[in-house]
Amino acid sequence: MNRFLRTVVELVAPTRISHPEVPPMELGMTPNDRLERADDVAWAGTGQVDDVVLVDGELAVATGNVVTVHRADGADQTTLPDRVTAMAATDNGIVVAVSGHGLLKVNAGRVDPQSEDVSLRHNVTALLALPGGELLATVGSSERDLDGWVWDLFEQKATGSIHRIDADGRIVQSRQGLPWAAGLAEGMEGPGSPVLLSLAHAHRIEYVDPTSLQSLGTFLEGLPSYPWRISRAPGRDSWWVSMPLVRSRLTELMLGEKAFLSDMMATVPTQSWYGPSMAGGSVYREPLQLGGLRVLGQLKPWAPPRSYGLVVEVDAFGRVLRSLHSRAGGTTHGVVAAVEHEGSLWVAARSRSGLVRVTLSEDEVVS
Amino acid sequence: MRPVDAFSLTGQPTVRRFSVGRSVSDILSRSWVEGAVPLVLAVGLFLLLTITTPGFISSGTQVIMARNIGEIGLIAMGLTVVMLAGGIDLSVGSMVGVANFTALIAFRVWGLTAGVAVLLALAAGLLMGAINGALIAGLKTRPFVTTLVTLMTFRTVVQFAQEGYADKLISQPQDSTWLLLGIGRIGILPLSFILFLIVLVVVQVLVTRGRWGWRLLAVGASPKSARRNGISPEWAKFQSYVFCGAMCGLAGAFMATRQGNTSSSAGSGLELVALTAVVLGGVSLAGGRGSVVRASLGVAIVAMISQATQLNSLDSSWYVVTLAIALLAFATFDLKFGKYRGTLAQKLSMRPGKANLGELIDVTAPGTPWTINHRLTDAKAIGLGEIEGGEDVAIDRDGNVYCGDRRGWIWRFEGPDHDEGRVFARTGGLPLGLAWDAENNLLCAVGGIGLVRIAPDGTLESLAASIRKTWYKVSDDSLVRAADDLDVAPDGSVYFSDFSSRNQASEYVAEILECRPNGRVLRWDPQRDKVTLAAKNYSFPNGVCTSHDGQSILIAATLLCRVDRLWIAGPRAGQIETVMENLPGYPDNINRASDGNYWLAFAGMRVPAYDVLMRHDTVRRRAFHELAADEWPMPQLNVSCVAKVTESGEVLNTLWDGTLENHGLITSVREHDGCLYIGGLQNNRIGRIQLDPSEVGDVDVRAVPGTQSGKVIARVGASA
Repeated sequence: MNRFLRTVVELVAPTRISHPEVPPMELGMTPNDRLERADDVAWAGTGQVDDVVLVDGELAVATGNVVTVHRADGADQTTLPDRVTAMAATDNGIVVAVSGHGLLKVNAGRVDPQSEDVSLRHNVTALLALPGGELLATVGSSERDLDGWVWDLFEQKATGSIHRIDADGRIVQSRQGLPWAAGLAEGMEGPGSPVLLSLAHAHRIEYVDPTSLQSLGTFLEGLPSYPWRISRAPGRDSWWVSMPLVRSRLTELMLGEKAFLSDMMATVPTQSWYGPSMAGGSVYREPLQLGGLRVLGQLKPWAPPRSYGLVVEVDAFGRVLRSLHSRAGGTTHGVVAAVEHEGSLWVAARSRSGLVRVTLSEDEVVS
Repeated sequence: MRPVDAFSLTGQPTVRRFSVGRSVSDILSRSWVEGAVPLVLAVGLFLLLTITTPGFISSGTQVIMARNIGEIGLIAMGLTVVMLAGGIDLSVGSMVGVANFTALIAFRVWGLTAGVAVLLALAAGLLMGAINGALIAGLKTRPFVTTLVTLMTFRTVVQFAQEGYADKLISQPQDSTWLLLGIGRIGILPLSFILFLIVLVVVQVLVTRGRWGWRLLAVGASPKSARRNGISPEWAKFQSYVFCGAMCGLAGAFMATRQGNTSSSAGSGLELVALTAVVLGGVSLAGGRGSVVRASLGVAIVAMISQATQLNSLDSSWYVVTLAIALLAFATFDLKFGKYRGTLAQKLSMRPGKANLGELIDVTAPGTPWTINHRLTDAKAIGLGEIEGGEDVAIDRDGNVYCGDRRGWIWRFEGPDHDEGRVFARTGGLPLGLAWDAENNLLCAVGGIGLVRIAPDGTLESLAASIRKTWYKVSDDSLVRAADDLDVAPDGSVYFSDFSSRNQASEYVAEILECRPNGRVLRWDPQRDKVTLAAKNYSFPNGVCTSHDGQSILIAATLLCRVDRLWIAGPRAGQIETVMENLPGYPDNINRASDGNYWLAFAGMRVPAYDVLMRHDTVRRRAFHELAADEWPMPQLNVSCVAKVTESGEVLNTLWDGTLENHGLITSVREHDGCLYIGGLQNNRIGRIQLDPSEVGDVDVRAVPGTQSGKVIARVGASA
């Protein structure tokens, strides 16, 4: 609608005009500082973690081009030809997505090609093993690489996809046009049941039929954040959803300002844009929102965040049972993956090097 | 000296000086705009009828109209007063009828003189008004229903009187006074019209200037708050109905003398006419808003419609229909206009400007004068935990440190160790810039107040709080809303910046987002005690500093990231020239350094994304209106530095707190005795660092440049 017309309509019928909005964080999502009170930083200094999964009860961590499996008696390291962007545990070993190479299978130090399909060579964001040797893979965007998520967000092109790959590594089914597909998890009821697919830039998680890959309905929508990877909570009917970024009303407003966005994207380095960020960069080059002003030496935790840390546990009805936050000024921001193991949550945060371990307590679950 | 127009510094085309939206907003914000609508309507209708209706401007027509206006006007006056007090009176027509009959009976049947008859009609009006008032104010009945009932009651009284006296009313005694009242006129003006004018002037003065009208409006706007402020709403309402009754009584008397109408329907339907006139005149049906002068414009409109209907030989029902449509349209308009005027004015007031800043110097790159360092990190903290936001710092000759505080205070920390602090003065505004005058008084630019002089004993004196309003501007720019920094010129006059003539000092963030040249630089002349404009249309003028030679003042334009020189003496006096432009930060206060250079502090640093936003005014406007203030996009206001610059604007070096822990933001620095004192608008301390002896010269930075007497007097003042 024309700006002038908008102003007129707003005066006569204010309810007819919508302003940029973001759903509030409330109930189970009420902010706290749980991620800041992490027990320790495990394996600090090992580099930024891109994914973490459980393989036969052991943690497998992808850092750069290295996959490390931590065993009780030590760690197995496997070096891959390029950056590992996603991992999944299968019946025999780990399938990893390697930038520029496609899917590879890692088993006891051996690396075998799994699929070299051109669609799977870049920006594979999540993998999920299906019973019967098949695999599901999501691609964030066909035009941008993994670190180009903010370009994808501002371009609003929805070039992501989900693929089903058979045991021989061939793509047998695909669905295109997804707004940054970023996470996959098995559903509740076993073989053949719907799987969960997170569509980050649509702030939504939906049920997907694992065979046809078509949507079967919405699991979670209207999130105040961009959902990424999903992992099953062991022994419970719930899932952990990592949310590396939260929405802000300023970002929502700017999504409608095409001229400004294209000007900014053409002239400003990506890490200095207005918009969400995985981890704070140089404060001297980054823009500010007024709430982020330090007054008398203090930054208020509820300042509009540029980067934020958030993991939520969601039950089968889509209710948020609990959430772990790291707010403005915090250190554990940009959570891209989280997996629960033996009463602790292992969190991969972009703002930190290595994994963060948080001991979970049943008391904090919202009833 | 003519003020310099600094608009050209923005680099924007002339057309961007103006904004239609903002002009509309300014007009809508003024109270006289309410009267503009009926005035335009009246003038427009007059012109239309003059063209379309033959004989409309003949003198005969004018006499009839003047009579009409006189009688309807008196009624409308009464109705306006009732409506201003939040009531309504539908019984005006019947009251006129009763008064008409009272006068006729007194004159024709009882044989009383014309004067007594008129007084009796007036008394009848007063009585009926008192009945209305007693019912509504005393018994708290609803005005609408009550006056509807009295409308019928008074009409019944007329009918009984008509039946009882019908045969005796035929006689028409000859009386010159009676005739004079009825048809007498001065020039073309009938007596009733003259009386109407007199009443109009008196009531207008009473309503707008007197306590009575002030109370009436208070009650009409909000009876509850009026009561809580000690006004009796009942008494005010009662008075308004009695007044209305009196006006109807007078109108009835005039009707009787002019027409001698003995029909029982005399005066019926007048309530619609009067109500239409009043509503057309912009008197609010909700009460508390309107004026009798505007209502009389409505009367003129109604009289013109009436006259046009007759001249065009249309059926009188056309008149009623036209009035009904006009009433409906204006009642709706009144509702919407009253509801949305303020909102619309507010919506249109923010019309951001644009700025095209040049290439941004990267302060994170090594090896430049701007490279981030840690020279301020270990500054000794003064007043830590006591100060809340001291923008500027000043040090007196005894080494005591003074700074502002966002609570309106001026702190004083005793030298030489500055451990003990006390509140030296309380300004009541937002104290920003500080400077010493030649008599050792502390001058302070106080946001929200203006220029203030603080004597050594802490007593305050306001020097400049307002300036003459610019005659051609709709918005009122007479107040000094946002005094920011100041310095003293050799002749003793004080130059100070007023960063916005529209926004308050506390709204400086809105001013940043708006980025329009709203500011100005003012000069206070001590000889004449007068404030004059030194530079206008300035984009956020902030730091002001007299140059070392006293010939010019340096002015920092914060949002344009530049520093300019305004010549105040010498051959180029009154001209402005660029000293620095395209700075990597937003310059704040400038102060003289002892080595003949200047210290320039920054209110924040530029970031590439905000530079882009400076080019996109619509995004900033949307952000202002659609987002909470906490969400507004801002440049990086959490970091800044202080630069030492030469007279010609060359940057020698910069001082940073690279950790951002203690002095992330620096808004002012002041040199004293080999030390540098660091102030910050959002900081909780004043910092002090020792300067390297090579950086210190022998210039007295406290003395007014170009004077030597300053020192001597100051020493006397300090010892006193």
